[in-house]
Amino acid sequence: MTMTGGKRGPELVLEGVSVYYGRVPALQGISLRVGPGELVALLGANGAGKTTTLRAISGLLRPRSGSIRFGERDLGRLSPAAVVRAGIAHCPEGRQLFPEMTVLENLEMGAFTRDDPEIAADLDRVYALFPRLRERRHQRAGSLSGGEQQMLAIGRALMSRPRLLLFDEPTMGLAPYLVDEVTEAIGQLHEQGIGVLLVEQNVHVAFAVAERGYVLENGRIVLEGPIEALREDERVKRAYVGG
Amino acid sequence: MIELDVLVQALLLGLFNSSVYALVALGLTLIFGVMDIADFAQGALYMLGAYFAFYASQLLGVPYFASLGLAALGVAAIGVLNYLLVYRPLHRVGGATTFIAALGILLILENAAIFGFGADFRLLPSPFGQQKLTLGGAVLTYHQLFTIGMTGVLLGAVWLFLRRTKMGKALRAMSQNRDAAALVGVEMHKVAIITFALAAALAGIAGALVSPTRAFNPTIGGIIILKSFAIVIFGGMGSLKGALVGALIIGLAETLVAAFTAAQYSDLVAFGLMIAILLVRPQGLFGGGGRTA
Ligand SMILES: Nc1ncnc2c1ncn2[C@@H]1O[C@H](COP(=O)(O)OP(=O)(O)OP(=O)(O)O)[C@@H](O)[C@H]1O
Ligand SMILES: [Mg+2]
Repeated sequence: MTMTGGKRGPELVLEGVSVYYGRVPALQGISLRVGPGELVALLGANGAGKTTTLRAISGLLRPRSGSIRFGERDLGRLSPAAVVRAGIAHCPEGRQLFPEMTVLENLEMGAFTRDDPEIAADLDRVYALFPRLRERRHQRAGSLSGGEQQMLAIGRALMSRPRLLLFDEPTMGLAPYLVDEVTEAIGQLHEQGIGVLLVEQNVHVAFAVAERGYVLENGRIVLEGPIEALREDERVKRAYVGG
Repeated sequence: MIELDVLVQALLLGLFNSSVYALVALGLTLIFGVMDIADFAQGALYMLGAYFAFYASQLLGVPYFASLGLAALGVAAIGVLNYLLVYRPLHRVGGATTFIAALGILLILENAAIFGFGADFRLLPSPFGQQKLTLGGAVLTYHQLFTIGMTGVLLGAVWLFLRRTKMGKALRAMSQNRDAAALVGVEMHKVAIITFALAAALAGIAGALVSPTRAFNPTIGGIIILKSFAIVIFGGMGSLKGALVGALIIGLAETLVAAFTAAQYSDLVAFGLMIAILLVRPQGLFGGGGRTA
């Protein structure tokens, strides 16, 4: 059994998407796609517009122009709650947990849009993926270590039974062995058929799991292709010292 | 040498005093936590609660206990209208604008009440008549006891709502992390309506509960909301525990100061304690960490 119930999702397609903060453009007509069950990396330096892209997909920001489609659905018009119901979960930058709630309550909040009898079984699957969360289930989320908080953020995103997961720098600030653990978990989810759009500053993580990638610079896509091609590209090497 | 009777009397009255503050401060801190709005209009809702109870029982002949429910419902509806007609359209503007709008609503409702109900002081007869509980030399009316008991029941109900129901958890989630709540699928608008309805209902019941004990007119909302706001700041903005502990401390301190110094100093207590705590702990007693725990 998998977290998706075996169904692959539709394709996510962004076409010419521009997003502004007031008068300042953050995204200037970007186009990208994530096929069903595909794992795609979105790379770029600080301030390139990666987070903005994910927030536009999940409905927290409205594009000024362009379209965001998930299969038949036009996400540009949907509320964040409707985007979740459409099958997209967003594991945000900086984890963004509910600090005064317990681990269990945070996971239950992840299933907020659901009302089916399989929530308990999905909870067990999250605990199987991250056994430490089960041990800590009655602890306040705010009292967890950084690594545990990241696992909880991923677990909470999984509880909506997404067909597409948006990850925003899931390994940021983690010790190396935890980076490996989180990377492995993302790989496992992908193997179960969940589509993934992975924003990473740590290119080693992106290169380890992604199939394709896009490079964002100042709100524009400057490079795209299979991940092996990006790995060899001089521009990517230059952008990421040691990459 | 402190006289025991005077002390017991002050503590009993203080508990009654605290109950009223707790109901109003709880609503204020909920709205602040969830919406980031300092909703001074809650003072007017408290006042309207008293008038709802007054007219329901005097004009319509509704029994007092049922009029409490009517006050809660009627005032909740007005609280939701405030949100839909004023706060929601202003939310994009944010900050100071919302605060001025809240003061505006307070003044408009106050003046509308003066126009509609007159400025005279009124008092509702208590269903308990003049019955009193006597403890040595200290007395408390049955109505004051009933108010304390009802407050306990209401606080328990709110606690259960926030802890056990899906909507209550959504409300806590939104006050702890608004973006994250949106990302798990909480409908912000729905939670906002519930929050305003709940807070207004609490303020309305508080007004209705007090209407047979303290004479009221349309201007009673101003002072109660100032003090409740001082309590919320004292306890930590957005903290539920802070609002309740703050209400208890300040309610008791007020009656103790009135009993052992002079009544005119008691109004200074709330603001004095607020300033004192801000000097030592700017985030308030329980503020700083998360909200609406
Ligand atoms: N709320 C905001 N208001 C105004 N400008 C913003 C806001 N959020 C981001 N920006 C600007 O938009 C641009 C893109 O920011 P974004 O957060 O999407 O970058 P990022 O690629 O995620 O960067 P990082 O790697 O640092 O997380 C930046 O120039 C940033 O300063
Ligand atoms: Mg970012």
